Amino acid sequence: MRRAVSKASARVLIAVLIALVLVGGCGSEGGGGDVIEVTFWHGMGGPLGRVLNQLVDEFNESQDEIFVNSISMGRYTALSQKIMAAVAAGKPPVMAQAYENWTIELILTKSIVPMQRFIDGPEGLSPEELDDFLPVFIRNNQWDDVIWSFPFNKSVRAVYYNKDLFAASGLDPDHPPETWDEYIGFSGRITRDDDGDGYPDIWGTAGQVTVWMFGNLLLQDGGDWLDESGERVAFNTRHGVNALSFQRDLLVGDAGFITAGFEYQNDFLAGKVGMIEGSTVSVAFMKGKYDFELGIAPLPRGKRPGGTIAGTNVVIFEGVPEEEQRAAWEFIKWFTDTAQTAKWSAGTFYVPVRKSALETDLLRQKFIDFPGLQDAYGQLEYASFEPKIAGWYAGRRYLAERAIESVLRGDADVQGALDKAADKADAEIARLKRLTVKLGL
Amino acid sequence: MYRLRNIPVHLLLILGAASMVLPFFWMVSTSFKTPQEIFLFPPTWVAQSPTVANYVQAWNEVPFPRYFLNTIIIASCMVAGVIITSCLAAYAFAKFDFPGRETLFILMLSMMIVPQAVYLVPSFIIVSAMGWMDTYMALIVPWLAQIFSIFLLRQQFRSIPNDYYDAALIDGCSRMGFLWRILVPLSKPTIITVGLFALLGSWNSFIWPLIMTNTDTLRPIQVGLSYFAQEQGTEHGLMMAAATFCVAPVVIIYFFAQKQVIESYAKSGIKG
Repeated sequence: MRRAVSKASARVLIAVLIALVLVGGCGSEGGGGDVIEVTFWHGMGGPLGRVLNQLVDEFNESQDEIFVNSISMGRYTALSQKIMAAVAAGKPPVMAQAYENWTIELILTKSIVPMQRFIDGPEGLSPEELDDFLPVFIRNNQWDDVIWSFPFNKSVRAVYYNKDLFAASGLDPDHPPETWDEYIGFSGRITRDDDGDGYPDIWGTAGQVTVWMFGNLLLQDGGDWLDESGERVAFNTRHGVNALSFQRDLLVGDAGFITAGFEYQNDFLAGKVGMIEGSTVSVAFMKGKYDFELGIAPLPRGKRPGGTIAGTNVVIFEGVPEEEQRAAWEFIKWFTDTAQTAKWSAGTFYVPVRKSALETDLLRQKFIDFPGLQDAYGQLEYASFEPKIAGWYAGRRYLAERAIESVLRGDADVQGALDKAADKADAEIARLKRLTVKLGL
Repeated sequence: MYRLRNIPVHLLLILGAASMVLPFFWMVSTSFKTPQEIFLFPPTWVAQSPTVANYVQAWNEVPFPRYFLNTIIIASCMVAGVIITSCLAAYAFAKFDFPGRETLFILMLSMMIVPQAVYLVPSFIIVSAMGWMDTYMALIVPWLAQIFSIFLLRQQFRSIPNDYYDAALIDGCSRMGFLWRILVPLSKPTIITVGLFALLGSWNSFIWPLIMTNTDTLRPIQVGLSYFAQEQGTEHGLMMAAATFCVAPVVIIYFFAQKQVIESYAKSGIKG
């Protein structure tokens, strides 16, 4: 009996050791022969990952020189952790999705190759081809007139509304809110308390704590993110105060509520909320999950039309063989070509990055199937983007947490909260500026 | 009379049990619903027109068979490894006198409060320098020792009188022999608990394998689950179907090990 115990444990020990040696050997499987493998890290899953994988497969089958190995990290937060760790360890992938405020840090640390090198190279893009890209996306990827990254999955914000609830509230289902006044007025009219308990059963609108909405309102009121120097934030001007006050009145007044994360989208799908804002990509997540007539519209205008784009770009890393970098560019060029960007847009509701894609049969049909989508995409004509300077990553978080969240939760007054967030953001931007000068970057 | 007195206690227990079971019930119920029904208001308790479409799609969309195999490989190595290292370390901390024993023990315990986010990047660099990136080694070896398990077993070993030790040595038992022949058999419930914690830990690990692997063929089930939860929204039906088949094996194992777990908690003086 005693023997049996010790024999058993010895066996377990040996089994573990053997298992470790065995499994240690079989790591990744390499691509065979002369095929150049391009590792591509991204954060796309669910309905978006499905479409991306289809396109990557299509590319891999279209030729036999390059194999794109697309690896999903599931989410952007995991993707950014993974990129930072891999760059620190000197083992980057060949290409990855990246937001502009990650890209600036990758540029400063010399971790990526400028896309301009490939655009100007023998397999590059002609000036006419480059002109076909929506100008906002090119500017979005330029630092000091050099294109460092390339537009990949981009979106704009839109208003989604329940046409049935519009009709039930005596509103015209074909007339979405076009001004701030209409926006808040419609919201009030949709709200109703059916059981008389003093709480609405149907709400005008709902949302979450988001910088994206605030930024759009800031621009619509005539404000801007940064002052003329480009090194100090300007979101605490009177335009910022107007924007945040409106956001507060709309979302946490009598006719709206905020939720953690995207729960408000579920309430909208359940038919309890009249209007919500979301990315154009939200359609991919809402499709087939509602039982009412869905309206899609551009954001209401303030003093002027305005909005910011969202979504990531792709970057190619330093420290990998040049032929892999060139192969990555081949894929990027293919992916952003008219036919592919149209397919990508049709499958995911991201906006196409080329103007010519808007004229394809595929997207024309999409615009018929989803009325209002074309107008929502039309916002790209005047859309801009958030600051791309070092320090904005943290600055944006201060704005979200110290200003927008505390005001929406009723803990702070608008001007005071914005000033506090602006001070913190300015300090962070200045700190990073000093750091880059000191390090000679 | 006796029964009457038990009614309030039982009511309380039933309430507690219901609150624990409800999320699982909701998970299973949602997994059989169509996308429209998930967002129906007021919500339905049981799927009106049950469908297995979510299961089929979730299973096919992510390479779950491979992910399950990986999780099973990682989990079995971890369970075996953690039990062995915890027994050895706990034995030393509980039964041997050596200089700095208490300091070392406290130092070790203090490491428990360091959150993973803090050591993730340094760990990545170490794993990368060892050439273990994208191998099972990276997924298994760093997790073969767990502080909490050592602590739990040390408490258990200390509760076994030293007289046993003296008697065994007089009878000619070696020090190693005492551990494997006497301490371990006497501590079976605690060891099963340690094994179960290792199993749960490896079953649920997400960010570590995500960061340490680059190929689909090495990833475990939690990484597969995350596929259905995106920044812009979650596909609830698919997510719940996948969660149901991922959690099922652990629930089954727990039913078998339940008695031992409760026993060891009662013994260690920790009330969960």
